[in-house]
Amino acid sequence: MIKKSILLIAAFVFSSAIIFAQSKKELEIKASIWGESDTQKGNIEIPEKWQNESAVILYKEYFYDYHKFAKNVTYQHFYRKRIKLLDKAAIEDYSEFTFTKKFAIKRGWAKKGKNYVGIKIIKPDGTEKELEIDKEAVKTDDAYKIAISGLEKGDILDYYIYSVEPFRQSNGYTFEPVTKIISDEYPIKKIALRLNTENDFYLKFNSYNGAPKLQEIQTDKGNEKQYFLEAEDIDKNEFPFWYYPLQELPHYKFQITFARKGYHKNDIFEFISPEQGVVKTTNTKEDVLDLYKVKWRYGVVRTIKELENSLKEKDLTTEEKVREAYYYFRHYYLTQFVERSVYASAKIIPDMVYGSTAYDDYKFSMDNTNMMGIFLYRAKIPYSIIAATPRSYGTMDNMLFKSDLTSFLAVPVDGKTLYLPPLGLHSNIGEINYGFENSDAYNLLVNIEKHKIQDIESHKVTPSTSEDNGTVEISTLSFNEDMDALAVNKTTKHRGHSKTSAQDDLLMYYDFISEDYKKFNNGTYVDKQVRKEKDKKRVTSEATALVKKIKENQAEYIKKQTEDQYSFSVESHEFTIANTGRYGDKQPLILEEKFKITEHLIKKAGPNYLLEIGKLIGGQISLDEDDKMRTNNIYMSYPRSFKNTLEFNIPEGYSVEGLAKLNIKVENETGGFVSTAEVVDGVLKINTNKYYRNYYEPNANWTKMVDFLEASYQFTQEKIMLKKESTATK
Amino acid sequence: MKSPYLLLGITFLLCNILSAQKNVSPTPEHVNQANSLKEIYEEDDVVILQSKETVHFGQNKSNDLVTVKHKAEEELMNISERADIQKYVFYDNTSKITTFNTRHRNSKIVHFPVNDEFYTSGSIFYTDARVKYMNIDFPVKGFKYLYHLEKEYTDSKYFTQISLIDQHPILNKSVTFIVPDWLEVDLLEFNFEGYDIEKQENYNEELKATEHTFIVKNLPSVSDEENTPGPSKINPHVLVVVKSMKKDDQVVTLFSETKQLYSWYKFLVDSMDEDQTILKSKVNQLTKDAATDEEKIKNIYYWVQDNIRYIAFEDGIAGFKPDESQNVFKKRYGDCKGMANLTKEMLKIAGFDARLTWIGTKRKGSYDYSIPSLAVDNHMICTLLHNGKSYFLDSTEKYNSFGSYAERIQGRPVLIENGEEYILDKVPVADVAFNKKSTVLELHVVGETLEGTVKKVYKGESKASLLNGYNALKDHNKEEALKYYLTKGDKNCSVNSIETTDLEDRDNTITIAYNIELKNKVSAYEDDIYVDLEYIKHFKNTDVSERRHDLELPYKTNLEFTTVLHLPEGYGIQHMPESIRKETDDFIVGLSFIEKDRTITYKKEFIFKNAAITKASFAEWNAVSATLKKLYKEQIVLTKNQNATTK
Repeated sequence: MIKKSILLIAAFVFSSAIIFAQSKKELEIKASIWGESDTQKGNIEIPEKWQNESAVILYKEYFYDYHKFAKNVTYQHFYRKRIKLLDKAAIEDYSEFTFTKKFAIKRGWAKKGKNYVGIKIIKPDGTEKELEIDKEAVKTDDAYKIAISGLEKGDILDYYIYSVEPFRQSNGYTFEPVTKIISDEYPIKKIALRLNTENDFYLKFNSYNGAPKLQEIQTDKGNEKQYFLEAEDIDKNEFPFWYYPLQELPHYKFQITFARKGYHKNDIFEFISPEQGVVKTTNTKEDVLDLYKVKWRYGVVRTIKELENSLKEKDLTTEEKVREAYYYFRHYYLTQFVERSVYASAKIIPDMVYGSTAYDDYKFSMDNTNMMGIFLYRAKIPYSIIAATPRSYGTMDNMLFKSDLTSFLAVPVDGKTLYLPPLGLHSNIGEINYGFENSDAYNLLVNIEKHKIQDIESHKVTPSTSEDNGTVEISTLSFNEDMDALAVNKTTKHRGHSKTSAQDDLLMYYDFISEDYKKFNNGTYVDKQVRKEKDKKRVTSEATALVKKIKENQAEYIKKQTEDQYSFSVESHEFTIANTGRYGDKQPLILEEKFKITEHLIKKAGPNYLLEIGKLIGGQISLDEDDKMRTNNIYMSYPRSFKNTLEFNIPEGYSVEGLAKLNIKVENETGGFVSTAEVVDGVLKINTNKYYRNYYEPNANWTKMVDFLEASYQFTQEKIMLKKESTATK
Repeated sequence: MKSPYLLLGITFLLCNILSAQKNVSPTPEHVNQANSLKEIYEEDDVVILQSKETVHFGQNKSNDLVTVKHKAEEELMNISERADIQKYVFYDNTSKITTFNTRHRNSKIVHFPVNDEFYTSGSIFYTDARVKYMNIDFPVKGFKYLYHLEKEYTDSKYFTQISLIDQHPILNKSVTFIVPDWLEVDLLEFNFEGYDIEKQENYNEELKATEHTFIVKNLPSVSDEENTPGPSKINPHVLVVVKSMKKDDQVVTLFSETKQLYSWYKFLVDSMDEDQTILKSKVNQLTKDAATDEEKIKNIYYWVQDNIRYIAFEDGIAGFKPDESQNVFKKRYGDCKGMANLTKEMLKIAGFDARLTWIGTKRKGSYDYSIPSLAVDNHMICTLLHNGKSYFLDSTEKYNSFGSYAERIQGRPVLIENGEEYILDKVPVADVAFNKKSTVLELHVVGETLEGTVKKVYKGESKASLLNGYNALKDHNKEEALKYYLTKGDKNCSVNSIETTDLEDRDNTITIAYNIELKNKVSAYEDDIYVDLEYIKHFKNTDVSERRHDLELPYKTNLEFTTVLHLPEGYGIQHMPESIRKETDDFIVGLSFIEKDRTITYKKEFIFKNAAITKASFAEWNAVSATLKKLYKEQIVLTKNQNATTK
């Protein structure tokens, strides 16, 4: 009897051990992080200066380890954070975790990757309690969730997530680039990065804006490399508006490339350290030339005879030919697929066709931006390739990865440079992404006879001006008879980057595909792709229904946009898109709107009225006292201007007072706000212009910007008085 | 133009896939019907033309439980240009879905992918509830689908109700409960008033069962209005109470009366394995220096409020059975049941008589404990019986002062544990005066600016809500957030020299005093000064003109906002808006302008006695709202003319 119960107990202990036992790997990982050699054991105090913070990170570590055995690569990495939680908000933020145990590895030939999670709480007296993850976590569909138990104000939470990603790679493989800003939303006592590699792994690494440098640890094994980086006492960061963190904040970047044999490096379109064990820190002009010379893909020459024949028939200048070709490709590779893509997503037609989805067509066309290169080569029109890095990433000195560079074509004609951006639904020659404007770039010169890159030179991408990126609004305003509503007719013209974002925002597919079909004499999806009459009928009727539905949503959306711009509601809203602005960078997108304002702007003052007319130029940036004290430099997307004309029909029997405050002029080197107001033939005419001259302003110029920003805000607060004339004569 | 489709060589494949199915597209009659329905149901996209639901009961003799089979068949029609809807159904470990599909009107199955996921909800950390759903697109107007659902329950206690209303309007619907002779069921009707719902009864000889059929006609879709009373109070539904069954001529009692409901709850509570040991030192620490019983109670109650995070696990029976107090204490988190239980156990250690208490919050407003159903309650609190009085402690309410009650539990019936018996009681209802929030501004015209001082006083729920919001902020953001709250983020308003009483004190009145500067509220033209004393426009956007249901407020709001404007030297009043006052059963709204001793006192009063604007008051509120909008646009006109006041 006794024996039996012992057996039972033994069995119980054994089975529970199985249930909650941690695997060898788990224990190894835990020992490597929290074990005897953990340098953070006694790290529980925070500096006096951070006592009033919500939380303080005592220690944060990133660890990356790259090893291989023949073709088998094992990539292991972990992230550890030890954070002291000082208020309820911090506890709330850290009270629940979600994680996966297994995940798909998207590199080489691989089985599933595994995650190992450890969480412990350290009480203010130093006692530690480790959470039993397997016991406490609950499984949902594809992830585990754990509510952190026993967490109180003043506790330290120490946790890690360790990932193991084994995969097979016979040739070369480049890992995703890593960019990390040293600071965090909470202050940090200490941060560390550790990086272990061996032969066949090539490291690029650099620190920027004063971040500490990477240091190498000498090891006994010649093929092993170990590096680390540490920083201490880091104040929390805040990201203000108009700010490019990578331009200012200390950060580091790195990337590892695996090449089993030296020549495998050639398969990879990426900057790679020339030598094993040597950390590459910068990419020179020559590096860029070497990379592009060897690895730039000119694309496959496809039949573009149709285009070439059509151009032959016309008598066009070089610039006109380039433009025609660009629009042709935009339609040929992109916009003619839009209908199909829309219908597939609305399930009007099946999504899958021959293993290719409608989406793949988009992707395919995006990859073929250098179709233009082929055209230019065949037409013997000289061009070059611009490789630019976005301003938000910093300068060319910060360019470490291939992905820091974006390339587009440049065609010199008649003493100017035409930039050819990658194809987009509304892309236009001359309208490159604002991020590259005014940036330092390289110009890769193409030998048009051989169609090969042959040289490189530095290039400054042409900037745009505030006029180029202008938004012009003209509104006419009239009171109704009861003087309690305003009827507004408004025309908005968007140019430059203002146009680009308006196109993405406002245009639905039916707003632009027909103009492309017409221009290229192309048939619709139904014309070309649906054969049977009854199918044509069905697809057409379902597509018509879809358009009607989208139009309802579009109308609501545009009304909402207008309301958001003013920060008040409007009624009886109607709109027309008078021009899509898709053919030529000089063409604006034109939106015409009609609506009524009933609930707002009009205030009664005895027999007179106050009209908050300033609000009709739309909401302006409202700076609070903290904003005005800004200490950061100012990084903006692009120079821009906003012009408004308000024509207010003064109701009969009333005169207008208060015009003096509507005449404002604040202009300086950073931009300006200028407004004029006058009454001409019973119409109050107000013109305003707010403009930002530059992409960047040093902090020293902030007060100048504040001047015109405050002026434009104040304008929105100004009112006019409509004085009943009979009382005016009293 | 050449097509790249030709290059890809895929065109021919399209022909097969596009072949249309017969008798699927709408006929001209369907389109006409859709058009005329759209005129009635303007806001809706899809209408249920026909719906037939049946409920069958079965007997599980092995465990003496009643099983339920619920079937629903619907014919849906798109009445707008195109519609994309989702059909979904919940289930958990007490139920299963046996059929969930959609067919064309020619009866052919449509293979919409069926997703099956854990149900996720912001307020619940983990639940065993799952949801099956499919996305259904109606490509053109008049398009129809047939929808079919079958769901089975292993225990009738979890099958509590059938809703008669749906996310889509219903033209015709019948719900038939087939009640066998061996079963006793109560079918309780809720919120039928105002709807075309008829009840029929028929005995089915063959089945030896009574068929109770509810026939519904022309029901609008369920309201998507915000801040309505809970569904139990507004949606027409049938509550199903399975009371007893006959098994081999013996009556097996199920939920025949509240006693059985309580017994089941008590069975769950009794199965808890309480261990007070680890709570004792904390209780001792909290009570040892307390001078009075009240202080001891508060120390415990507030400690639980402040230190136990609300995290809800609704995993099977854990949805009904409280977690043991020692677990909640160790984990520092729990759901309402766990928190109520910890409060109870800690109070017991301190020598008090504390009891677990079941309650249906305001959302369950239609029900009370005369109905033995799991649908009656949705919450648990702790009742303290002390000196002959009952105190209801809801530890999930942050910054709730001992002896005061959150709106959501006020007036609600409670079921208090009492050994084999139970106690029925009600949470007291507080008067609206209890929640008063008052603001006094003293303003002077300085140039074109208004300058002065403000004093705000918070009581009751206005105080709890302020403290809760404030203390949820990150410490280093609190100062800035308080400023933002006081200025409402309005650039024209700036505040400084803020002084407050202790913003963690839930027992006393909270006061916030500060200096204020308001810009762009004064406009001077020649001899006149126009002053806009409104910078908050209370309740301006509270619109009930298109509502179907009562508008509920978070609590009985009682707001007094007084602005005293000191007239500038040499100016008199030329124009002052007229005062208004309206009192109904629901609210008192008063805005008055009084001139006295060279000041204008603009006093606003908004009192919502029932924490709601009920349908009965809609017309009156609409009138008040129109007046408010007008009044908020009015300016006070001051003029240099010294005789102006006599005008």
